[in-house]
Amino acid sequence: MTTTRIMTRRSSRWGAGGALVGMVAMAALVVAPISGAAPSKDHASSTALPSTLTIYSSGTVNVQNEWQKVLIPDFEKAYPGKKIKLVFGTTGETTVVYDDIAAAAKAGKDTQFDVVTGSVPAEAGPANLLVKVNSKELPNLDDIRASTLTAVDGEAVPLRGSQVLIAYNSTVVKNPPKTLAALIKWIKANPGKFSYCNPSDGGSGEGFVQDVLSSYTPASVNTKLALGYDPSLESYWDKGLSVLKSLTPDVFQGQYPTSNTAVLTELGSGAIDIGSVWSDEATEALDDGQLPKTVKLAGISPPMPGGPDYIGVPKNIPASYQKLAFEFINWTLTPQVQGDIVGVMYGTPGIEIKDLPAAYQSRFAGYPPPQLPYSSKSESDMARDWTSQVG
Amino acid sequence: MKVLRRFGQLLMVAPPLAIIAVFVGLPIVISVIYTLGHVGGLNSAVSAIALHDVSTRGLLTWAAYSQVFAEHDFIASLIASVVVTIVSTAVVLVVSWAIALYAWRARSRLGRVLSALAIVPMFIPVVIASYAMLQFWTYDGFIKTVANGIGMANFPSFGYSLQLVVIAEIWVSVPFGVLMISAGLTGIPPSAFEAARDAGASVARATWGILVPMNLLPTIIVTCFTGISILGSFTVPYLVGPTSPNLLGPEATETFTNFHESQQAEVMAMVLFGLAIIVAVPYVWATYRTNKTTGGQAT
Repeated sequence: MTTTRIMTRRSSRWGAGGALVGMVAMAALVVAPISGAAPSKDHASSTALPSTLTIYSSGTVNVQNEWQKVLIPDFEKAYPGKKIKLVFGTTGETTVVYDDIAAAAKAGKDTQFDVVTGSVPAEAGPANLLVKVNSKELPNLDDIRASTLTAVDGEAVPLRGSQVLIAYNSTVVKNPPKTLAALIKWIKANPGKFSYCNPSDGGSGEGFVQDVLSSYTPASVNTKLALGYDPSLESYWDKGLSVLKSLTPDVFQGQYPTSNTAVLTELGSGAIDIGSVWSDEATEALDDGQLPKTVKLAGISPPMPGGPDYIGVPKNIPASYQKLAFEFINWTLTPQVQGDIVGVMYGTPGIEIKDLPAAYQSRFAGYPPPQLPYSSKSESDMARDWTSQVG
Repeated sequence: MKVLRRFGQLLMVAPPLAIIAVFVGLPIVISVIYTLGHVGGLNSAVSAIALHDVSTRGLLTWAAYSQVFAEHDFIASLIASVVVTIVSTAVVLVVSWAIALYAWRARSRLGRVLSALAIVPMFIPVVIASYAMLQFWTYDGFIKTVANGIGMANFPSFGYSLQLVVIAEIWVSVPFGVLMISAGLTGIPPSAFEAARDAGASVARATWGILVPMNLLPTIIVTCFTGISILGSFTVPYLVGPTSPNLLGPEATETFTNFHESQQAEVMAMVLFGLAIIVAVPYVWATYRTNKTTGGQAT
């Protein structure tokens, strides 16, 4: 009884092919449970730690680089004799991997993966398909903000993340809006100079939409929508949806771009002066010159949501593999490795910013603590309601 | 002996038939019963991740269909699909005929160059072509920039609009049309056309009265295949089309992957399937008629 909504958000951020593979996923769903039930790895039965860890991750090239250029070589250096076998997939395959884990858990069998990350844990955690984390197996758990664990039922930890911020052209916008209300006022006063992408196509648009909807929704209801699913609470969104609809004539061209990067392109070409963006994508674009240095990032209040990328361990794998898996995850949460991840990925760390090596901390000055993202099912309904009432 | 040979023939076609039955037939049957409310059994996996799906205790229910048809979004997309298909197919037919006819009549170097150029889009991947179209027509694209330069600041930008979907669909579909209609025309003796011209018929009259009837089957093939491919197209409308309403292809995909309404997405697929069958009717009729008159020798 789970969905794969967050996966779509991830894919929107790190790749454009999400929807393209949707149809493949549709076909694969039929076959997946059959292949998922078959044990496909010969786990050693001895209590000694195994030598190879099989890890599933997904995303686009920069995520793959993070694994192949940083995490795998550094881990194999730090733990001589240990090897990592990386299975790297796209969004469509993620659905299959999720089904694989779900089917294995249902049958009480071992899955072929020892560690899952990418978009799988955000779905598998709430479905209780992963092992609950504890600070005995994961001493570095103490460095993680506890609220980020609630969304995955304490069954995974954030490896890294990103959050939605506004990016603005500082040569035109001297005093960027500090609150959502001020931003909406600015959009109406400067028609055609703001853009956010279709929330179905990118998490940066989703972040802005959630910020507007949640600002008219009681905090307790927002928490329920973030940690669970209750369609009866979605009537609280009506006010926010009508506000968003009233903004349509004032967004750039009266249209909604179909990807996160399209908003960055509009910013870079000077077509718009403020846009809602992912912090990691914008930082990377600033770093490699795709965005001029005059573009600045800022948070607003109430803050837009963040998107942690979790890492977790599937249930039913042999104890020795589970032990090594948690040792690996604990290692990724050390400040040094987190600093290296932040260095290549431009995202926010999984651990708290104050625990990072000092050199990296300044990068996140001015980032407000993000709002919890809505749960995948609530997000699906939010995208649907936005499309029928606003888009 | 005859029975044995029949059996042997059956055995030979059995493997491909079995593959089609298992990998095409079965999934279709499963999808159809899913849209009719059967969420258990082989549909339990897809139903497990679905939101808002309708199930039935009885034999079947049309509830999912009535739910989808009650949404004005869907109706708007349905209308958009039909209109875009009709307009694009009509333009593709006219353009293909014009190019093929010119090349057939002129028999000059220019004619050959033109018909060769018309085929080029066939070798450009649709994704690339769609992005190129978007870059060309969007707010800071070539057209808008030129229009701005000559003082037409209010010239519309077609980026992310159904107009651009039509333009891109035509671009993608014309090569097939030109190929088919040119191929058909080469089989027609020029004398038939020239005789009509000598008897005083205008070019338009001779084309309409002689060439079109003699080249009817390729024309029907172009119409049906172009229509079906535009109706079910995904990449072009997904990349260059508006958020909503858009064609049913992206609409169904969005419903499936983003809204997690698997059942509703499959209902939309069934509607597309139904429309495609309607478009295919003239093709089946024309092929049947040709086979009857030529003893199955023609296309």
